[in-house]
Amino acid sequence: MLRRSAFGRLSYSAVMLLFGLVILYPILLVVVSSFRTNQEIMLNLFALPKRLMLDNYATVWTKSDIPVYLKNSAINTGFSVGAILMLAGLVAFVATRPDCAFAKPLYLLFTLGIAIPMQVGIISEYLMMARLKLLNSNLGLILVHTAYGLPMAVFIMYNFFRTVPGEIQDSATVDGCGNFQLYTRIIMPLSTPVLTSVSIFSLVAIWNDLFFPLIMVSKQAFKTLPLGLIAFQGEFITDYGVLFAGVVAVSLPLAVTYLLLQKKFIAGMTAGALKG
Amino acid sequence: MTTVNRARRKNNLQYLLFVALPLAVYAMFFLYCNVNTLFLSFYSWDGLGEKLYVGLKNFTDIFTKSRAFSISLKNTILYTLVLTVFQNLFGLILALFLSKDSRLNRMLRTAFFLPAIFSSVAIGFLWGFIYDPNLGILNKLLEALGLGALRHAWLGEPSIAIYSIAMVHVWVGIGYSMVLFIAGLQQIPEELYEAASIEGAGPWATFSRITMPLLRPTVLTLVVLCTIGSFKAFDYVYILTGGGSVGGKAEVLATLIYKEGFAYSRLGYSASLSMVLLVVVSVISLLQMYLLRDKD
Repeated sequence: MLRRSAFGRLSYSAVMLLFGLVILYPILLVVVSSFRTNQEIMLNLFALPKRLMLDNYATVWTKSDIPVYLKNSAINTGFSVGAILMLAGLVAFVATRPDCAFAKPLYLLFTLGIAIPMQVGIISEYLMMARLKLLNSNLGLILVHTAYGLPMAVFIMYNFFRTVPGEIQDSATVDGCGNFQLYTRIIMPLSTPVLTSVSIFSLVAIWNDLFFPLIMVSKQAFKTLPLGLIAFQGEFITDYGVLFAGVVAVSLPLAVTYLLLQKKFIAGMTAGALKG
Repeated sequence: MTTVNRARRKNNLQYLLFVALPLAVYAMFFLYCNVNTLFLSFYSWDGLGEKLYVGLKNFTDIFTKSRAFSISLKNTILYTLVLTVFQNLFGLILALFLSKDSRLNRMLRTAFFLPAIFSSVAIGFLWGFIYDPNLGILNKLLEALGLGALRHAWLGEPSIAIYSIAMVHVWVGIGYSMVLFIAGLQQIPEELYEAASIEGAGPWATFSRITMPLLRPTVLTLVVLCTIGSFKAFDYVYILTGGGSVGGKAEVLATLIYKEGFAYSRLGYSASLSMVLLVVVSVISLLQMYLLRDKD
């Protein structure tokens, strides 16, 4: 609409250049600086690396705890996302069954959670985890992340399951398909797009979550990437090159996945706002 | 009739079995903890000693005595305004330029959405570096442009810290708003624009009479998401101020709740603050539902 005239083309280029600089240049600067020594950075921040210097990354990998954080994040995110998919799927399925007597209250109970900020329960969350001896554990984080991930996942899946035509479900039931088979053989295979969306949505939220690890984890051995990155910054505060390399290393897994699956990522991350 | 009823009962029992595990996890680690906060908010407790029932004292303290609360409420509102206005304004500008599906546009969209996938700690580090009074790019840029007088300790000066922090959140969210606006723009029928151009409507008339009114649901959704997002905002304030919130001057509600609970061990008081936050966010959410219903 705005691109037809010469003025339109000029303003297109100007706006893209401006936003490109503001949004992308800082990211690029971090990546480029991660290949330079602290001395080079202090001398001139904006220069390019003289050679492909990987010393900073070697330091990150061998001298810092980032590999430990990476392992914890992978365990915590992997199990949480899996659990969310399984549990939210069951809830959404039951809530969309026409003959279910408690479908509506069930749906309301779970989606109620969308409106509740996660800071509300933290004190009680901490006390409960302390009582269960689940502070400083992967299991504790998985349980909390799963519970807090359910509301949005149920909301998105419910709205998708509702669009699966009733006739398909009825004919499956007539053919002697039990409820569980209906769920695993009919509904689930038809729902791959929404399963992808929920996975990505939950993956990004949990992988990047700082809040729950911050209140539940204090031991180095159980820190996830976001929390660990704070400790890492404290440890290497005098060496900017290593700091930059650490930030890049920590951001890389998700960034690469995003660039490979960009369309699915954007769809997944906005699914809650666009109703699935 | 009875066989139908029996089958239905059997089905419902099965359904109950299906949702037993999700319900247990959700009830124990979500619902219980939130309800328990409500109980705690009527007590004074340091987490170790005796719990002391104090009725509504925590709440009256919050509203009458607490300077920290009024500062953090004010900052939360400022944060909300900055985030809502700029994230959506910039997002809309990008969406208007990038709504056509071309290869270049798709690439640019992907690039502008990128900040949304980074962890807040990585983003905090990046912006801490940009805002650094001595090494930071922002001050160096201002100097290079001959605007050295505008140099600031962006995160260190109490009067501007909250704006600097909110702008980081804007930076992260522009791509999100852009994507939602593009989805909204692509639903506007092309014929409307053709008709407008036949009628001789200029770009501004087209924008204000067709585009904006038809984007109203998107604007509404985004305003509500940004508002709720701001009230929950914790990460950037916590990270960019090193947890210190510039001597309390850049405190927001979420960081105050955390600080009262985990740094000062005033669990009951922190729980009361949580309840205030919950009420504010619920009112906003209800308002959203009301406004969205109006549209249908």
